[in-house]
Amino acid sequence: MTGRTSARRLGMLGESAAMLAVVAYALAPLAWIVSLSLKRPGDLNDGRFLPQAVTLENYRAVFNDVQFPAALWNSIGIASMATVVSVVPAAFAAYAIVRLSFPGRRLLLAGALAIAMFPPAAIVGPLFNLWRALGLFDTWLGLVLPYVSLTLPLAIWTLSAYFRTIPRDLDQAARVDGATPFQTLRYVIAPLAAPGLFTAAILVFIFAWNDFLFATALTSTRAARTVPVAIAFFTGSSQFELPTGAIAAASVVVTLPVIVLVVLCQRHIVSGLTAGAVKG
Amino acid sequence: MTERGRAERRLGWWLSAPALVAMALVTVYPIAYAFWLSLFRHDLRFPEQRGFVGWANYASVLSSPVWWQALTNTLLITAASVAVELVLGFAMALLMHRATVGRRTVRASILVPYAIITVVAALAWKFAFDPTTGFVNALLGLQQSWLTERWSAFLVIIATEIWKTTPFMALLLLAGLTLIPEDLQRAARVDGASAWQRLRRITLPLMKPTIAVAVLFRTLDAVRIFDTVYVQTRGGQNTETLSLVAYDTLIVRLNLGLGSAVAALIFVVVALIAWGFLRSFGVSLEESR
Amino acid sequence: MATIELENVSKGFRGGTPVLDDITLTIEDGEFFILVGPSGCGKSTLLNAIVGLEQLSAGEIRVDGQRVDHLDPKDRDMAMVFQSYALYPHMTVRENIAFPLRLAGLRKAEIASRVAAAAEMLELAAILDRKPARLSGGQRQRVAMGRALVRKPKAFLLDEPLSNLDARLRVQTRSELARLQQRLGATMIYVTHDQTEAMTLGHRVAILNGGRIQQVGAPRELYRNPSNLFVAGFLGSPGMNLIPARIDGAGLVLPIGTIDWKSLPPGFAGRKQAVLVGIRPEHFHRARTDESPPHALRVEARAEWVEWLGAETFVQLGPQVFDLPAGPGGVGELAAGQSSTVTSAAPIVARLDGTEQVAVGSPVRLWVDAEDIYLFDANSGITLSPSPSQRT
Repeated sequence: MTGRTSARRLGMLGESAAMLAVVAYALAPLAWIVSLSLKRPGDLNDGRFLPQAVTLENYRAVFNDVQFPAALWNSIGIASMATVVSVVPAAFAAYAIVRLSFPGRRLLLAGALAIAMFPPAAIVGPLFNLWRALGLFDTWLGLVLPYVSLTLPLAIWTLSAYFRTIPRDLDQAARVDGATPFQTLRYVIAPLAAPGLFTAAILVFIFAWNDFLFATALTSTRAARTVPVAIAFFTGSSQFELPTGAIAAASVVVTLPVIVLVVLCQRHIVSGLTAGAVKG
Repeated sequence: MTERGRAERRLGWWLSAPALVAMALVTVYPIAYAFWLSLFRHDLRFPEQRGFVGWANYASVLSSPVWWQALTNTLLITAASVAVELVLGFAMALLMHRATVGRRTVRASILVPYAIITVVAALAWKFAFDPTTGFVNALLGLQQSWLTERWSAFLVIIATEIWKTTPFMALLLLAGLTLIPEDLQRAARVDGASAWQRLRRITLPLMKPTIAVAVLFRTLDAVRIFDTVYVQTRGGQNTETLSLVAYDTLIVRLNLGLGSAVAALIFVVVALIAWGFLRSFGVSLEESR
Repeated sequence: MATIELENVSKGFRGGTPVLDDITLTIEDGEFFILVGPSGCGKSTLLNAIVGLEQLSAGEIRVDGQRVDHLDPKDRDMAMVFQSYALYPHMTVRENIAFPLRLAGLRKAEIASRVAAAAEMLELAAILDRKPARLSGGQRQRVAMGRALVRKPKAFLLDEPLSNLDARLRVQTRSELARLQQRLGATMIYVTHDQTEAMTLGHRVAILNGGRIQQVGAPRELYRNPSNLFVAGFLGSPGMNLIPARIDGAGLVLPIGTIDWKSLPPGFAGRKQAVLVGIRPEHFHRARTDESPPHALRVEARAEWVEWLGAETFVQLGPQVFDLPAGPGGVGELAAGQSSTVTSAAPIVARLDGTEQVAVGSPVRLWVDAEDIYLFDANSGITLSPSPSQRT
């Protein structure tokens, strides 16, 4: 018996060690970038993981920069707009897919699947040309539109998975109780789907927040340049010295809020991310 | 068809129309437009030379070593990262599935790589491997200039990709694992199967659809790789990928005709990969019910 | 409250067999009406059609003479209790019960007083502010009832409302439901697959199979005078014994015995015909020396198996195996879904008093009164005898 308990204890120990390793794996690069952002300029090249002394100078530099605050504002605005504009039609479409029978159902699902697999690099060029012709180049709208299209599949899947968890009996009960279709949506479906809508919104927001390809191809100035582009093109005061500390500080500023959001809503996000791929 | 059936149909179309239009507008139309542009000589730096050239742009792309090199690089990065991610992700999924305590913590922490902007992740890894600002050389006792040599640059790029996307893979696989009834594992245990046999004979066969879907999604995602390479090498040291070639031709060199041919060819490559997957796995992905 | 009439109601699936096939029924005002049948017989579809959740492909539904089959459920003024109860999980019990009243645009005071009345009637007062997730199965069931009756609708439709309760609660709730219906004088249509619920609750019962009504009537009438093999087999537990037999000059010839022709009902004398004989288990009597009526089937068989349940004893009789005719319109088809009563190798079961002692393997002598023997056409399954007026 003692042999078995000690084997089990060993297994538990191994499990805990593996879990610690996974946590370390996930957090180390984040810790590294935080550490870089806190290093004094003189310590940047010391080859250490942790800062010897902590300074907030890099953060001050980032917010005194002309580019970064503008980019932050663009990112927040563009990602929020894309979120709203994507989630609303996605909710309609998901409701139609789950609750109605009509021939467009399959077309919608196939279209969503095709777009989920779509290579964005293939449309950057044509959009570049079109947007210049239409005056959408280097504007918020010029980025919102592709973000909406490309996030719709994710939003539709997340939301249809969510709508499916709402028993059909509830719709029917509401109808028998005297509700119009609109009242059913408003009093029964929408309140129950609220967490799903929120999840879809976060996923869309993260996509738009994260995008680099469209943001770098379809913008050229502070008017619409978003955070990833600003960070990638950070030049700082001198042309020849890469402002590593400032870049790290900017990275932390744009990363931490999203991470907090994601960790707080982890359950919903996980179910949203896996909704499209796993049946059930 | 009854009156109400027709009304339901109409409502269905109305509700899905906005999404369908939005999806088509920014994808179908540009792709068609790209195909149209690809048949012309159309260089924004030399607008007067514009003219119909037929398939000539495709011929020059396909006869260019740049295209084939980029294709090879892309497939290399894709194959290496997806293979490692599958193994690593499966291990993580099994761990989280088994774990009794600390599961939430692990799940929360592996969402961190997902939530980080790719550009930021690429920079973090770049700085870490950088000979002056980095700690990796000091840690390993090396004097390697990682991103200035082809193979080591690939190593860093692939490592970044793996770090960033393994969690996604792990979560997909975990979702698949939880769908396997616990009783099957118990029954196999009673039947005398060892842990390894249970994994091989019960878990893996039942996970096949999930694995297929996860690998397909990640493969198509990896083929698009742009941000990491752009940030870490900007295509230098012969690490250019397909997306980078398209971007350079179209946005940097402003050659719309040639770039559109590249775009169309990328579309074909992705379509071929997707088609091959769907054929060999026979998984109906549309069946999301 | 209202009278509900269904006339030639049909519903077909595209390319498939009809789900509902030409159903005509009248449900009287204040009646507790049961729709019963095996799963897939169309009973729930019929209920959904009455409330308006399913469209008809043909036929009419009238409530108090007004056609309603084109109306949306919200305009039919019927309340429904779903099998899952369909309580809105984001609303409290109070909000759930008030929801139909809110939709109807009633004043707040009126809503409050109606909810209070319903809560009192169903003993929900203490849990009005809970969400459904925090209720027991029985409480959920009562909330669903409350939400239905608070509207004072024209009719109540209940879709297997007791099937999610455990056995004990089910029996208790069953009698509460019967009392409630009596008190309200409400028209209730109740769907179930459970014959016990059908027999104990219903003023009248309609038995459905394959989308068709097999028979409508009071429970006693259905049990005593089944119009066909399906109804005979569906009601009663254990089911009616079915034995292939033939009529010829000597009377009725069964594999287990013979009845002389004099005891056959009029009209059968002298005919030669293959039939199915039906005998309910409780109609077997142990043969004693002096009793047994003049016209009776006398059976001598071996007790293959004996189950003693205290108040009663079930004896399985041998020889066991009879080949029942199958094929189009035959027993096999009619009995689909009732495998426990009619299979080609069904044993014959006799139900004796619990005081009877029968040893396994020993011979038993039994008799069955000719009055208690049912005859069915071997091909169509329709009852041949005796005519319904004979058994009361």
